[in-house]
Amino acid sequence: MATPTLEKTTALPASFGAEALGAVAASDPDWLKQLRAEALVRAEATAFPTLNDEAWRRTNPSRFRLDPFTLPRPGASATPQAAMAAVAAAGLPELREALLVTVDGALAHHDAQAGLAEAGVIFTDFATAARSHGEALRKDLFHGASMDTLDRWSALNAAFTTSGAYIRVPKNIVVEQPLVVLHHLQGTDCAAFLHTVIHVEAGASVTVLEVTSGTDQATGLVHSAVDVIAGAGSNVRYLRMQELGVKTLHLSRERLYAHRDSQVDWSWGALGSAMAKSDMEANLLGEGIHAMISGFYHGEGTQHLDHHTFQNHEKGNTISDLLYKGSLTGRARSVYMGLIKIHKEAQRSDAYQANRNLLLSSTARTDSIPSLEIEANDVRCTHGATMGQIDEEQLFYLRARGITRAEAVRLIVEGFYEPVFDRIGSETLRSHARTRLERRVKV
Amino acid sequence: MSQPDLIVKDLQVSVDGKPILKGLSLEVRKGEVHAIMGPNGSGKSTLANALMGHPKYTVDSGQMLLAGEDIGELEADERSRKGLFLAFQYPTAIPGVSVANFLRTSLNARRKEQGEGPIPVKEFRTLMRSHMATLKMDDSFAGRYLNEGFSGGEKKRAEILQMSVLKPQIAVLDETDSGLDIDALRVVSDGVNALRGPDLGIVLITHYQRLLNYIKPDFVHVLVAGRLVRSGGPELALELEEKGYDWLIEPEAANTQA
Repeated sequence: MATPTLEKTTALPASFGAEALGAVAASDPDWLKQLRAEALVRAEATAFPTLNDEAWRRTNPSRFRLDPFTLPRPGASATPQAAMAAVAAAGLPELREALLVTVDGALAHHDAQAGLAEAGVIFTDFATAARSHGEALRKDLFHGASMDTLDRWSALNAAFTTSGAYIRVPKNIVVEQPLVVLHHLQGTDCAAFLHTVIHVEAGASVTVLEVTSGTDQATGLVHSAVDVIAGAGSNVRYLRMQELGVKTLHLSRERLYAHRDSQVDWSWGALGSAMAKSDMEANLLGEGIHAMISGFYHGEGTQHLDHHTFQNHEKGNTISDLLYKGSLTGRARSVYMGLIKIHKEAQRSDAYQANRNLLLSSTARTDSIPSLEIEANDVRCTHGATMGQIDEEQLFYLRARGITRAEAVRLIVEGFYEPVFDRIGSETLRSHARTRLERRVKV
Repeated sequence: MSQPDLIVKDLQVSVDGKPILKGLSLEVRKGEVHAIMGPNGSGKSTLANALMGHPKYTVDSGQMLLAGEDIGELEADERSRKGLFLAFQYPTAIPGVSVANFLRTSLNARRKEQGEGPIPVKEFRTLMRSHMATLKMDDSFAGRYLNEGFSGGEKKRAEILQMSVLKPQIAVLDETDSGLDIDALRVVSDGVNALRGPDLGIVLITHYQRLLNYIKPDFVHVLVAGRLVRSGGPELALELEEKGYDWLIEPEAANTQA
């Protein structure tokens, strides 16, 4: 059993020191070696979060310890067969026009139509991008943030990025087919650090599906960093699915950097892992942005799913509309903390935030803490949280039509999520999200 | 004459420990329409809910037989699959579940019971659309969430739509006329009359005689204070229209009500 961590610790396990860094960075270009080294210095200088940190009061940070784990040794397991098995398990066989698969942190499969490269679209794995598109990637990583501004986990990610993806869509290019990235983990006792960077330039349009999956036998910890940069007037549809195995721990840091007049349809599905904590920021950096942020999660057994969201309106005439819905059964637990911040100069902002929870067992638990911080005076904001159980009258109504109890519960639960799926603009992403959730919810 | 398809024998039902039905007996054959009329609080909705097996209604004694089988111990979904249907007075909204999805799920539950596979999507769509046309429902109705934001008329039409698709043996219609304007009442009644026939027995629960102008009953029963106090033909409904219920309320029952 993990004991609560109250003391600040800065020491890193020996397996995450300079030697490990050297192995990970062996084939990197110099700029990345340099950046990793700076990130490690930053990681060593910052402390792990403790239960005293507000964001970690309900999710014990000592569960996310690095010392039982080592970095994955990529290569051996990254076979085409493993990639195809992972694609099938993640429900992606129909989405193979542009598909990139990593297994245990190494590139295992890459399909991309010639048209993409001809249009100047970059769609590749992290290591290749670092070598072939170093200058562009370097500027886009963490939206150009300096290493010494990162928190401990993000700095660790920057230092030890095992693999990831880089997508860059040039100005005014419309990519029709969805770009699909699958990161699959099947090793034991690994700590994998994944970084996906998506930069959609001004006026461009793209649909991206990113899946982080793993087998139920896999053990370890996965840290994902995601940077999505939506250029001026761009149109971005992004769905991220977390379907890790039941023994895997997951931390993620998702960042949206939306620029003037961009339209972003961001959705997020958390279905897997033993314990997961997501820290999502939507930064509205210019006027005229419309960001839809939709989340759905389902926990069972002893799963613990924690979501933190931050809708950061730096400029006015912007809209952010967030809806997170989750159901929990068994002894599963969810935590939601959301903050809307409207800066002083962000007049005429609309910001909505709602978290709805459905408890399917008496032992499931949910905490929901929405909050607002508004410095402007001409804004429209709402926030709310609800939790409830299956309504007995609804159940009776359905059963009176011959539907069994189990089937009736399933219909009600699916109906509960439908408003989230309704918001997902891309038909491909919507139907994928719905199918994966329905497959997962066994009541 | 054949055995009645629905037999209710001396049924006593309580809600939260309070007796509501105090020995009600009724026999319904397919092809017949029985109207059950009564003042507020007489137990009309209790009869409907107890027949369907709502968990809040406790059957203290008596029997309910559907096609000769005792259904008293069966769950609501089992009763439904055996051919019992309740058109609810206040249909519950099921957010996020479309009318079409719900109807297909209930129809397939019934088909599964009869050893058939799920209905092909195209066949289902044709079936649903033809019934919707009878009830003057727009095609877009199929995609709406069940009973969510429905007007009173839409809710009742949706109930009759379900009845049309599910083809029950015995249908209990609980205050189907409540909340309907005259046009909606006509559409709903036309829908019920279209289903009327030798394969369906109907129990029509209503407070007002008005509905019986549109759906002509074969038998009329008066429910007062948990008992059927008078049974007769359609003329009884007209008598009630004229005289009200007071003349039928026994002094003893009146005391209990007060």
